[in-house]
Amino acid sequence: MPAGTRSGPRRRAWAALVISTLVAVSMLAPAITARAQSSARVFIFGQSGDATKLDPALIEDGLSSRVTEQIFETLVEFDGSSTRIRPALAENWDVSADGKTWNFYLRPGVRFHDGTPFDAQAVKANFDRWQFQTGDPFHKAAEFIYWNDVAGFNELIDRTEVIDPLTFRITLKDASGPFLPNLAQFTFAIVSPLALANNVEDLSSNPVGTGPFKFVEWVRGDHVTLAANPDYWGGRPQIDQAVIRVINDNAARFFELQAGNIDFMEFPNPDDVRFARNDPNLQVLLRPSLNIGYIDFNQFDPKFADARVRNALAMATNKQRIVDALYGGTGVNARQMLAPGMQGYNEAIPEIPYNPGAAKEMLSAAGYPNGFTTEFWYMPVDRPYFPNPQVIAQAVCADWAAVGVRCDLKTKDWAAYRVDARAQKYPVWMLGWTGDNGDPDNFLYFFFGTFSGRGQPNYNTWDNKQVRDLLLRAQRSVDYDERERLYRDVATVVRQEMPKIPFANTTPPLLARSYVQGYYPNPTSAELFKTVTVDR
Amino acid sequence: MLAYTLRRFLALIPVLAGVSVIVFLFLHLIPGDPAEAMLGDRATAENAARLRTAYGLDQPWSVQYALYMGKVLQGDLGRSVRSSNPVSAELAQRFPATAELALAAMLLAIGIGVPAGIISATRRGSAFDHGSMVLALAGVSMPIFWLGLMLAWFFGVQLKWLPFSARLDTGTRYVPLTGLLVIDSIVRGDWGLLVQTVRHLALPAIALSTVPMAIIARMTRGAMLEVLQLDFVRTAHAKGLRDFSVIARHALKNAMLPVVTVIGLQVGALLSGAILTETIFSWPGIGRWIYESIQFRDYPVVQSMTLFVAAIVVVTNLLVDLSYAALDPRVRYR
Amino acid sequence: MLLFLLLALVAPFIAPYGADQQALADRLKAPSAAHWFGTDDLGRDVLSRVMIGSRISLRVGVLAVVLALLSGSLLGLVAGYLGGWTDSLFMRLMDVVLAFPPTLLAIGIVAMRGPSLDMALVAIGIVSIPVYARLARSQALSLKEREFVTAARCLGATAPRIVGAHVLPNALSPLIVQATLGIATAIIEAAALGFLGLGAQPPTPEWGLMLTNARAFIINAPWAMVFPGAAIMVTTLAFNLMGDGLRDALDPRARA
Repeated sequence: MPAGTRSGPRRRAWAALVISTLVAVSMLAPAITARAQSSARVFIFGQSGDATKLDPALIEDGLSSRVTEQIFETLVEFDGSSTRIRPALAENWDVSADGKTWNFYLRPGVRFHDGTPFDAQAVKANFDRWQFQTGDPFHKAAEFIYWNDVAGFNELIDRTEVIDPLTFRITLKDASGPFLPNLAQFTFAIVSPLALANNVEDLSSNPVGTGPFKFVEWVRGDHVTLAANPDYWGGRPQIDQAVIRVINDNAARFFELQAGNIDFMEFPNPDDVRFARNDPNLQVLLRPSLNIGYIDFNQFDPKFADARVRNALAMATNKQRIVDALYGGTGVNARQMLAPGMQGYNEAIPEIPYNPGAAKEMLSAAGYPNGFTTEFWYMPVDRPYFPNPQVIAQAVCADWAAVGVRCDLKTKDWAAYRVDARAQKYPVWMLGWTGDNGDPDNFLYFFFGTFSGRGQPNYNTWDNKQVRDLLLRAQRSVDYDERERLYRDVATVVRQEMPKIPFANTTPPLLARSYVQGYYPNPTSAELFKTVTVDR
Repeated sequence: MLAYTLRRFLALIPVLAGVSVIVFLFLHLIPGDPAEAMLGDRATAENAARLRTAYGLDQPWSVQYALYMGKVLQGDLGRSVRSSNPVSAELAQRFPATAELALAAMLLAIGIGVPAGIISATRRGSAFDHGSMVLALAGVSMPIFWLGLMLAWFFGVQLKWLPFSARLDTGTRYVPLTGLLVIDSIVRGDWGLLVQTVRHLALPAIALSTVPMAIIARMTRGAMLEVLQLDFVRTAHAKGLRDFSVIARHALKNAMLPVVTVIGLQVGALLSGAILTETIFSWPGIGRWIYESIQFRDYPVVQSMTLFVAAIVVVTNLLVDLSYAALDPRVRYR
Repeated sequence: MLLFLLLALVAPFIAPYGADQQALADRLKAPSAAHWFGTDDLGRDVLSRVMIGSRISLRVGVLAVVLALLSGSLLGLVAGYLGGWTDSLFMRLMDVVLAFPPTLLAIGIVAMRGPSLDMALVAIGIVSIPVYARLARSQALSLKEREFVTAARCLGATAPRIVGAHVLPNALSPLIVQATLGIATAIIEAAALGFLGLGAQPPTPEWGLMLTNARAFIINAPWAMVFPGAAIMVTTLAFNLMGDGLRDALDPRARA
C-alpha cells in the first residue's frame, strides 16, 4: 500500500472514537431523571415472572395473585403471618350448630374502585359467577380451578342467598372443616359486578376491586403499577404507589436489590441469602413453612412396590447434610408429609435416620444386594421447597450411589414434566407442594386421598385403603380433636410404608432493603402491601 | 424489476406456509398441552377436558390448523390461552422493545464492524489489523449469555455504571408513541428520557451486537481486501485519486455486496440471540415471550409469533437480495 | 488446537479429581493450590470438570457438524445436480428451516423428546443443515457444467455415480472449511441449550450446564462461571483459527 494514503481512514477512525467516547460519557453520567418522583413513597417489588391475568377467579399462580391481592379482597383473610382467619369484607360471621348454614355480615360503606357500592348483591353476583358452570355469560366455565377442584365447592355448596343488603348466607350440604379457610384464598376475591357486566374479558387486564390499591397500568413483561386507594375502608395505605417489576433471573433480581433499584424480592438463590445476611442494607424475611419437597416412587414399578426398597433409599439419603449445604439456611430436614406446626403434624415421629449400612442390608433383603440402576427425574424449575432441584438431585444420587443404587438423571420442561409424573411415566421423581390454606386436608388428601390404578392419571401410586379412609373421615369432620387424631394416624402409617421420601420443609426467604417495614410474610404467600412502609 | 420483486414476494408464501405447518406439528408432538400447563396440579382431569373443549383443543390437529390459518389470513392472530389477551395487542406492546434492542445492536455492529473491517483491510498487517481481527475472532467465539452475565455483573454490579434490567428506571411513566423509546424521546424533546433509554439499552445491545459485529468486521475486511486488488481500484490510484475517495467511492461500494448479505443473515441470529439476551436483562420483548409461551404451551402465541418472526427474517433477506440491484448496477433481474 | 485435542484425550487420566466427586464440605471454595479453578456448589473441582468437559463439547461439536454436513451435502448435491423440481423442493425446505431463528427451532426439537445431550446434538445438526445444503448446491451447480462431468455423463455414468465420484470430491474443500467453523458454532449452541436446561443432563460436566449452575452464585463464586466460559471461548477460538487457516490454505484468492 502506498505511503501517505492513510489520512482518510484515520480521520474516520478518530471521528468514530470521539463519537463513541461522547456516547459513553453521556451514558455514564448520573441518570438525569431521578427515581420515580422522589417525593412519592413508592414500594418496588421484584418478582420472578409476569402475571398472566388479573381476574382473580381465573388465576392459579402466585405471580398473578401477588397483584390481585392488593386490588381485590376476600370475605375473610389470613391474619398477618399466620393462617388464622380474620375479617375482611365480612365484618363477622356465624355458623349454625349443624355446621351447614353460614351467615356473613358485610362491612358497611365499602365501595368498589368504580364507585359502585359493595353489598350482599355484589357478593351474590360473584358466587353466581363462580358456581354456575354453564349458561353464564361471565366466564369460561372450565377455568374455575379453585372452586371446582381445590375447594370442591360445587359439591359442597347448596345455595347462596341475599338476606339483607349487608347479610349474605351460604348453605352447605355437609359440614366442612376447610370451608372458611378456603374462602380466604385469593381466588374468592369479590369483583365489581359492574365491571363483570361491562366487559368480563377486560377484567383480566383492567381489574376493579375494593382493595387498598387501585390498578394504574400493566406493561406486559415489565411491570404493574398500583396506586394507593385514598377511600380504602381500612385507611389509606402508607405508600403512594406499589410497582411490581418482572425480573426473571434470580441473580439479576438480587443485583437490582443490592443496587437499590428495587425494595423487595422473592426467590433469591440460596447462596445469595447467606450473602444478604451479612449486608447491613438488606434484611432476610422468612415465610413460615407451609410446603414440602419430596421424592416420589412409582409403585407400579416392582422395585418400588417393595416398602423395604423405599425405606432403604430414605435411609441412604443424608438429607440433613444436603439441606444444610444447599438451602442457604432456610430449610429443615422433613420428617413427614406436612409442614411443621400444621394441624395433624405428629411430633412423635422422629427424623428418618441416615444409615447407609442399614440401607444396604435392607436392599439385600429385598433382593438387591448389588443395588440397581434407575431413572431419577428432577424438576426443571426452582420451587421454594427445592431451590435448585438439579443440584439437589445430584447430591441425593451421590448418596444413593454409596449403597449401590445408580441414577440416570433426567428432566423435561415443566409442563411436560407434570403431565408425565401424573401419568406415572417415571420410576422416581422429585415434586413438592405449597399449601393453599394451612389445612392438612389440602396436603394429605392431595397426596394419598385418591388412587386411580395403573395408567389412570394420578400422582399417587400408593394403594392404601386404610389411609384413604382415614383421610375421608377427617375431611368430613369439623371436630378439631378428631381430625388431629386421624391425621396423626395417617402420619404413622406413612412413616412405616414410606410411599414418598419427605425431603425438606422450607421457610421461603424474601429479601428486602433494610428500610422496608410492615411486610408480613405469609405461609400461603398471601401478602398485603397495605401495611408496608418505606422510610429511605 | 417490479415483476421480479413480485415474484420473489409470492415465493415467500410457501415458505411461510411451511413454517406454520412445522410449528403446528411441533406443538402437537410436544407432550403436554395448554390445558395441563395452565391448570397445574390442582385441576382434575374433567376440568382439563372442559378447558380443552373450550379452546377447541379436542379437535383433530388438521381441523385446528385450518381454523387457525383461516383466522390468521383474516389478520386475527388469536388470543393467548394464558392471558386471554389478543396476541396482536401484546405483540404491539412487546415488539418495539425487541425492535429497539435489535436495531441498537445492529447499529453498533455495523457502526463498529464496518469501519474496523475497512481500516484493517487498508492497513493490512498493522497492529490495528491484528488487534481487531483477534477481537473479532474472540467475538464469534463467545457464548452470548455468558458475555451478557459478565457485562451485567461487571458494569452493573461491581462498577455500578449502567443499569442491567428493564428499558427504563422503575417508576418512569411513559406513553408510547412509536414504542421505540429513542425515537419517542427525541421527537418529544425529552432528553432526560433519552439518556435513560440509552443507558438501559447499552449493556444488552452490546451483548447482542458482539457476534454480528465480529462477523461483519471479518466479512468487510475480506471483501475490501479482494476489491483493493482489482484493476479499477489500482487504476483509480494511478489516476492520482486520493486514497480516501478511492476507498469511499470505488472500493467500498463494491465491497458492500457481501457485507450487506451478511448483515441480512444476521437478522435471524439477532432475533435468536434476543431470547437469551432478553432473559438475562429482563427485557420485555418478544424473545422472552416466545420462550415462556413454549413452556406454557400457549399454542396461539407460539404459532403466531413464530410465523411473525419467520416473516421478518424472510422479508429482510428478500430486501437484501433486492438491494443488490441498487448497490451494484451490474446485477440485473429478469 | 492439537493441544486441545490432546487435552480432551488424556483429560480423564490427568484430571486431579473425578468430574463427579462431591465434597459438600468444600463447596464454593476459591481457587487454591488444591483446586486451581476453585470448586462448585457441590464441592466438585472446577478444573477437573472443565478438563473432562472438553471431551463432551468436542463430541457434540463434531457429531452435530458431521450430521449436518452429511445430510446437508447430500441434499445440496442432489438438488444442485438434478435441478428442476427436486431443486426447488429441497431449497424451499431449506428456506423454511432458515426462516426459524435457530435457537427457537432447537428448543422445539429438544422439547419433543425431552432434553438430553443427544437431542441437543441432533437439534443443532438439523438447524445447521441449510448452510451445507446451500454450499453444496452452489458447488454442484458450477461443477455440473464442467468438462469432466459432461464427459462422464456422455460415457453413460449414472447420476449417483457422477455425484459421488466427480462432483462431491471437487466440492469438498469449501464444505470442510465451513464444517471446521461450524464446530465452533455448534459448541456454543450446545452450551446455550445447556444453559437453558435443554442440553446435557447432570452430573455430566458439560460447560453450558456448568454455567447454568454457576449463575446462581456468580457473586459468591465467580470462578465457577469464569472458567467454563473461558474454556468455551478458547475452544471455539481454536476451531475458528483452524477454519481460517484451512480456508487460507485451500482458497488461493483469500490468501492474496
